[in-house]
This record gives sequence, structure tokens and C-alpha cells, in this order.
Amino acid sequence: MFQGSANVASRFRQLVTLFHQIRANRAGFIGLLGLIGYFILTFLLPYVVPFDDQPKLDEITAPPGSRLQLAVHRDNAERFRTLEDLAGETVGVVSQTGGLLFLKEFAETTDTPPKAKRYRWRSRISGPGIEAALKDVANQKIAATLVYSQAWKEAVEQADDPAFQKLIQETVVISNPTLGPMSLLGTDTQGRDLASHIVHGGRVLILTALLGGILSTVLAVCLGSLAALFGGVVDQSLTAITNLFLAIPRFPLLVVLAGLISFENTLLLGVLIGLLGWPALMRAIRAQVLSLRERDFVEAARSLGLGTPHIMFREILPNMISFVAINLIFAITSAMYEQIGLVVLGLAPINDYTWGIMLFFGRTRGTLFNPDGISMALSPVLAIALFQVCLVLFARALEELFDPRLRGK
Amino acid sequence: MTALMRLENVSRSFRKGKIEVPVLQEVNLEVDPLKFLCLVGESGCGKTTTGKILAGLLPPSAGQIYFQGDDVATLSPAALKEYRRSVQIIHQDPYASLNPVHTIDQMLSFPLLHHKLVRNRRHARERVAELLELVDLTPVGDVIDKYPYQLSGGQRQRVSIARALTTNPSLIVADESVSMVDVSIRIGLLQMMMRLRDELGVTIVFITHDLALAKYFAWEGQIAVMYLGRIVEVGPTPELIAQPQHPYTQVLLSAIPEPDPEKTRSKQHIRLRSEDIPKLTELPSGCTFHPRCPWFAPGVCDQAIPQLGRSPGHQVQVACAPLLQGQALRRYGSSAEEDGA
Amino acid sequence: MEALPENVVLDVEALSIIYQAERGEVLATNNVSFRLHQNEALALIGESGSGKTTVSLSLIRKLPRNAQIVAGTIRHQHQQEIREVLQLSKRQLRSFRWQACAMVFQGAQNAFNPVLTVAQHFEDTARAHGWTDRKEVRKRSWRLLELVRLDPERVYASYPHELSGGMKQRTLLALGVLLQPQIVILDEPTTALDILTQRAMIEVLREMQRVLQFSIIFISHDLALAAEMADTVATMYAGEIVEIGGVHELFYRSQHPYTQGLLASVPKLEPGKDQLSSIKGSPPNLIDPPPGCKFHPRCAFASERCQQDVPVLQPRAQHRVACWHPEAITDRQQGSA
Repeated sequence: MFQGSANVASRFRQLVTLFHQIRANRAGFIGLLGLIGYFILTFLLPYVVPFDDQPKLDEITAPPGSRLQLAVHRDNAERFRTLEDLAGETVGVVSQTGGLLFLKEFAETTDTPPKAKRYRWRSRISGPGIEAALKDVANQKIAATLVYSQAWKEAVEQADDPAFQKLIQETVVISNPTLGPMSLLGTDTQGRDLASHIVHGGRVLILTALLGGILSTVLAVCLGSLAALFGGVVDQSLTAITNLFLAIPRFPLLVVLAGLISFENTLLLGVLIGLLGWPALMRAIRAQVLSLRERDFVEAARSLGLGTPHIMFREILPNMISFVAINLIFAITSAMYEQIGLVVLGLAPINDYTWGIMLFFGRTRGTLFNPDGISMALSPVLAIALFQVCLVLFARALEELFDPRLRGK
Repeated sequence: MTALMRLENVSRSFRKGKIEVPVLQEVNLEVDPLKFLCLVGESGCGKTTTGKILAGLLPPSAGQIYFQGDDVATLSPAALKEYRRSVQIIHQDPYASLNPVHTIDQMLSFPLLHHKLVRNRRHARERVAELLELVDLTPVGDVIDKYPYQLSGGQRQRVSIARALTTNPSLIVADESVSMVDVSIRIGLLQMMMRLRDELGVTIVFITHDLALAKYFAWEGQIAVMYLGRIVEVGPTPELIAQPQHPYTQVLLSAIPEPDPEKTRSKQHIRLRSEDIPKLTELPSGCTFHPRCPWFAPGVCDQAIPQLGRSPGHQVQVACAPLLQGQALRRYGSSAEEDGA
Repeated sequence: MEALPENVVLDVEALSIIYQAERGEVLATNNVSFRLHQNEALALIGESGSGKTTVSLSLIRKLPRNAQIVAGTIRHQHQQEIREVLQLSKRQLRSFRWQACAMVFQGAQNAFNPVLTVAQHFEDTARAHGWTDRKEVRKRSWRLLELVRLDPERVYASYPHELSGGMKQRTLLALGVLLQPQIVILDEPTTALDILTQRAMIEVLREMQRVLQFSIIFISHDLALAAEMADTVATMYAGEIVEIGGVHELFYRSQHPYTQGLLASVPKLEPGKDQLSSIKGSPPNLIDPPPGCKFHPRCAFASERCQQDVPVLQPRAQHRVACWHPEAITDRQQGSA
């Protein structure tokens, strides 16, 4: 149908006007910018920002509720001034689920020495240092001690005092408290850089959501228009299947299926979500096609003998495109939520690190009960919510884009 | 002369839940080539359904449709397509009948390209320009690349007509095609349509609720008056307007206000016996107009359904039992002497 | 305040209304003046976009938000008391809308609340205006329903969906005059009604006006309806009244080319072939209307003056016309007659 370079040029012109039309809708434009931002964040930044997956803390064996104190080795104290300042203070709590909650943030502060209370570590951890510190800990009936390096832990282990032996077992080691380059979001319970997790945790989640959303929308559009255009038995059977699907609560079914099938690949979860997600939209599409089919312009096309494919693809579908596009976006939204729901409940594969898994860890490490864990709980939530907001705003722009009547105003 | 199209005992009913609604019953109608025919009636009288059946958009529940003498039901698929293309429809609402997502050029090109009536896109565009000129949408350049929403109601209706002309039809069914257009440009549209008959040899069936408009349009043709799914009177326009036979036609004509203060205020209005329109699902027995008819003749009108026939001394065909029996109409409840109408 | 002749119920003076549209300002109504007398039926005729609905909405101050009355006064006189409609407070406006000036919109279908019976509509309306005696309300409602030729026993207790379109329209009319307004505004009262229903509606309106003695302003594009019902007819074009006068004057001795054009384009039912012609061109864009007389691009008599100066309503014969060349038009009329 489209031949020649003139058409390429006109297509290009259309693209340019398209861009201007999107720009005209401020909210939609913000949505688009946001989505571009997300693309950069989750697809490009991972090449720049290394993934910080080295746990910097030992497994914690102390009972929940135990308070952890920090002991700092003199040799390293210069490097970690914050740590020095905090030495001897309660810095963390063992959470209900066995995770470690930091009450204070760790940061590398070599360049900017803090002003606060430097004297404290000097007074406390001086001379042999460690013994005194550990004794303090023992005297205060605090269950575990946090030390910041493996070497130091070994030094402690070498101490002869049997009184320490028990404590040593409960000592948590920060093996390398160096934070990533983007430490703006703080660390998780294992001392890893949350910002790097946000950067790396979006790609698979978004891809899976896109896959699920697109798959369910395509299925819905195909089945819905098939049912509406052909009617009769086709319609009845498709509608019956749809009703059956609609009658089963979707999320519990997903939970059961996700439990039965163990996925190697998170993307397969997207396929499953897509396969379960189409029925509601299919009903809506069917209704749309049914009503559009009765429109005068469709009747005119029939009268002109333009044939069913033309009527479906050139007359009806373009009129539904905004509806389909918006529903596609909502399908993506809900696919994402479903996936996250499964992950948070611990029912989905966790081999890919995603925002959902960050939430899962946040939940299991007890951040939900502690205001100091706010960064770990909120960063993935914000990342997800903002993404959804961008999607919805963009959907609004699409609506205007596809409707020439709205365009004109 | 063979009729261009002929409906023979065509009925159509729609299923509404469990009830059959008879929208059209035993309609006999002839459309003569190059003669305008107007279908007139109130809402729900079946005039639109008749139009859709003529255009092949709706199959009848019963009865035969003849196109240029051939029964449509027996046509080969190719001939059927040919017939479909030869009869086009123009809808009432110019805002709904044009697909909002296509430009004028696109929507007129589709049928041209689809039926290979043109060689290529460029040729199609030339032909589109020709068609737009034909319907007085000039200068063509102002219109051709616009979307429907950028045009006024009258312009859209012209586009709609141009689109119907793409397949070189021999019959166009215009369903209330000017009722949503402003008064001052209505006549222009009608005159353009009348001109198309002379220039292109298109016969037009015009469906309207406005008898005055029907009279103007089909002055040299025929008017068929419909009531509750049946044709109650059909005949040459001048006679039907000057001497309406069927009581329903008479009532209609008397009820319509005229754009002339003296005439309209001195007009004799015929009072109906009842203002309630029967439901299509509960049609009265016999003549369906009898419960409202001022000249209801008990025992005659409520018995058998009257068929269209020529009453003595008249050109028009009428479906009214007393008239067909050659009796004068008598006001219900009046004696013979009082009868004046 | 300047006094009004005793029999004037409504005086509209130099009313101009602007709509703020996204593409610019629309001068929907420009310098519109007319007077409505007791018992008079005034028809505002014109095509879509001529500003007739805007005028009627401004009378009851129901203009959409983006509309702004930029000039003019609307005065209502009842029992020698003159009120400035545009100065009324919200509370005064509420009573004005029902007790002085009632509007019956086209599309009666949507005017009723589907979950309330007709009776409740009547009672609620009465109560809202401090009329609490249910028996009285019922008595008056029944009388009004009878007046609109409905069976009160059946209609009063029924829900809106149980009534046909024509019945709803008439019920709405009865409801509109429940509080004895002096003015009833009807917006396209018969459009969308079938011929026979329309006839019944016209007769009902006449009868009501005779019994209840109110003035009518009705808005229509249907010239035949105006010919039938109006005492005075005002032709509107592009937001202005271009001609106003008695119904006979306007239909038989029209002096404005637009009114004449409209008359020439309406098919008639009388036996004999119609000679009709349409007005060439299409109504102007009100965001950027033509200078001078707004009709001049479509007018056969247009001269240079018409392109520059805006004509105002001038008395001609027995009515008033806004045209620079009424002589030429009259001459042609006589020539062709």
C-alpha cells in the first residue's frame, strides 16, 4: 500500500507531528519522559553501575530483638569515621525474621570527617581495645557485636578469654563496608547498596510485565473481535470460556499455578500472567466491536463491499486503538502488580533480582516494622509506583493521540 | 419497463428477548429507474428497515427482492457482490457515518482501490477529487486531506454522498439524509442529489419523516407512506399530496404545520381517536390504524388486514378496506348525513 | 431604573455573550435586544450556532461556565415590580427560575430522575419553593396534567420510563408551569417528536397558554412551527437578531435577505411544485466573523458598505430589520410578486 520515498518522508513527518501532539499534553509528556527515564535507569544504567551483591554481613545467629553494638578496629578507624563515631552504640536490631536491621546508616566518610563525638571511640576502644569493647558488650547483656572486618574477627577469635568465645559466635562481620557509588538510598540489611539494586532490579520486572500485558491484550483483542465478528457458536463458546476464567479468582489461581510450576526464568511467569489476564479485557473488546460493528460507517463499508478484513483492521480497530492502548497499559500495570504480589509472597522465582524481591527481602527482614528500614521498604515501592504513574499518564496522552477529535482541540 | 428494484411480500422481524417484533410486514414496493421514491412515516414505521433491505444490508425474514428483474436470493456470489455495490446507502447522521480516523481522501479511496476501479493511489486521488467536485465540495484541495471532524455537517453529508458514488451505484438509499443538516443548506443538498440523477443516472430512494421535504424531492416520482411496518398508501407525489386517500395520510398532512401563518392557522386538523401508538408487539387486529382512525368502520377495519390496491378513480394505491370497497369514509360514530370529511 | 410599559414582562437590552473556547473567543450573542409582552409567544428562529440557545440560557442564567455576559441587561417585570435578572442573588435566582421564568429543555427523556415518580417530581419542586401542602400540590398538578391532555390518575403515580416520549414532554411542560411562571422558555419543543405527537404538543401549548396566561419564548429552527405558534418572530444569524416583528410581517413582508432565504428554502405542503432555493455558503465562524454585516458573504445584495459597517436593527414598515439595503430587497419582492 505504501510505496516510494515520498511515503517514508510523510511517515517521518507523521512521527514529528506525533511527537508534538504528545508534547501538547503536559501530563502525557511527563509520563513519556518518565518512561524514557525508566528505560535509561533499568536498561542502560546497569552497564555502568555494578551490581552490589556481596553481602557485607555474616548470617546473624543472635535471637530476634537482640541489639547489636559496633566495635571498630583502630587500624581502620580513620577510614570509617562514621563507624568510629558509632562504636559502642547500639546500631542495629536483629529482626523478627532473623534479618539485621540497621538503626544507623553506614557511609564511607573518608573525605568529610564528621564533627560529632570523635572522642568516644578513643576512650572506649583504646589500647587492646577489643577486649574492653567486648566486655562492655557482655556487661550490657547485648547479644552480638558488629565488627567491620574479617581480619578483625580473626583477631578476636585468637583472643584466649573463654568469656569471649560465645560472643564471637554471635559476632556479625561487615566484611567490606564500602558502599557503591550511588549510596543515596543507603544499604539493605546485608549492607549492600540499595541504589545498585534499584538500577538492576527493574529490567526483568518490566520485561515480564510487558510480556504479560502484551500477551493478555493480544489474546483479548483477537478473541474478543473473533467472538464479536463471527457471532453464533464461536461467540457463545468463547464467551463461555471467558466467563469460566472470570469466575475463577485470578490471583489465587496464579498463586496455585506458580506454586505448581517452578520457573527457571522469570519471563515465563510473564507468560503465565498473560495467559490468565485476558478475560476481562476480552469481554470489553467484544462489547466494543459489537457496538462499533453497528456504526453507520461500518455499515457504509459493508455496503461498499469492502470485506471483513478491511472492516476489522481499517474501520473498527483504528477506532478502538486508544481503548486497546490504554488497556494494554493497564494490563502491564496489573501484570506487574501480580508478579510483585507473587514475589512478595515468596511464591515466584527469586533468581533474578527485582524490585519485587527487594520488597520481599525488605518484608522478611522486618523493615515494615521499623522506621529506620524505610529506605529498604520504600525504594522499590517508589520505583514501582512511579513507573506505574508514568504508564498511566502516558496512557492519557495516547488517548488523545489516537482520537483525531480530541487532537483537534 | 422493469423495475430497478422490487420488493415482494417482504417481511422482517427482530428478536427482542423472547418476543418477535415484526418491524416490516408484507411490503410490496417498486423502485423505477430514474424515478425518485420517498418513504415517509413516523419513527418505528419500518422505513429505515425497508431502506436497509433495499441496500442489501439486512436480509428479509420472508419475501423476495428483485434487482433488475433477478431474484437476489438466486444470484451467484459475483452477481450478488455486483448488486451490493450497485445499491448504496447514505445515513442520517453525517457525524456517525464517516469513520473519524480516516481522511476524506482515504475513505473515498478504499472502495476505489478495493474494487480496482482505479489503477493506483495517484489515480485514486484524481478520482476522489472528481467525486468531490461532483458533490460541490470545492475547492477540492480544502477538503480532500481533512478529517471528518474538520468539516461542517453539510460538508460531511456531501462526503458521504461522494463515498456512495465511488462504486458507480444505480440506486442510492438516502436515509433521513438531510434531517440533521441546517435548514438553509438542506435544499442545496437535495438539489445536488437531484442533479446526480440527471448526470450519473442514479435513482434515489429518499427516506424521511418530513412530508413537505418528500413532496419537494419526489415531485416527479412517488411517495410511499408507511405505518407500523406496512405501506398504507403509495402513488405519484402530486396526487398523493393533493388528494390523500388513506386516513393516516390525511391525518399526517393535516397535522403538519406550514411555514405560512395564515395557512397553518386556518388548517383543519383531523383529530385522532387515540394518540397512543400501538406497540409493534401488540398490533391491533385488521387494519393497524383502526384504533386511532377517525373513520373507523366497525366490522370492516378490525377484521382483515387490508392489502394495497387501487381505489376506484385514483392513481394511488391504498390499503384501506372501506376505500377499496368503493365506500366513502365515514366519521366513526357519525351518521351518513353528518359526514363531511 | 427606567420604567417599562406595563404589559412588558421581559426586557432584554443590548445583550452580548462571549464563550471562551480553546481556539479563541466566540461572540455567541451580540447586542441582542427584545421585549416580551404578556401573553405573547416569541419565536427565536435560526440555525445551529446562531446563538438562540445562548440567549435563552442567559435569561435564566444557566449559561455554561465558559460563557460570560459582557454587556447588556435583562429585566423582568411582574406586578409593576422590576427585577434585574443579571443582578439576582443565588437565592433569588432559584425562585426566579421556577416562579417567574421556567425553561423546558429539549430531550425530555433526560430531564426526569428515573428513580422518582412523576408525583415526587411535582412534590419536590413544590416543596423546594416553600409549598408544603401536599393536597394543594396534588390538586394543581392534576389540573395541569389534565391541561396537557394526560390522564393524571395514570401519569401521576408512574415512573418516567413508563411514559412515552410525547407524554414525558408534556409532563415536563406541566411541571414547568407548576409554580405559575409568567414566562415559559421552550427549547426546540417539538424537534425529535413525531408529526402527530408534535401536533398534540402544539395544541396543548396553545391551550395552556390560553388558560394559564403566560408568555412563551420558544427556540426553533422550524419555520413552520414559528408560523403556527408565534406572535412575534425574531430571526437570529451569527449571534445577532437580524429581523424581528409580528409573525405576519416576517413571513409575508420580510426585509432581511437571510429571513427571506430561510423562507425560500422551506418546502411547503400545499399542492403544486415548490420553487425552492438554498442560501449559498455556510454559516460564519464565530471566532473570526466577517466584518460588517455578518451575512454579507452569503448575501446577493451585499455592497461595500455591508462589508464595513455593522447594520443595527432599524424600524422598517411594521417591524425592525438589521440590513443596509432593505429597499433593494423590497423592490425585488415586489418585482417577483
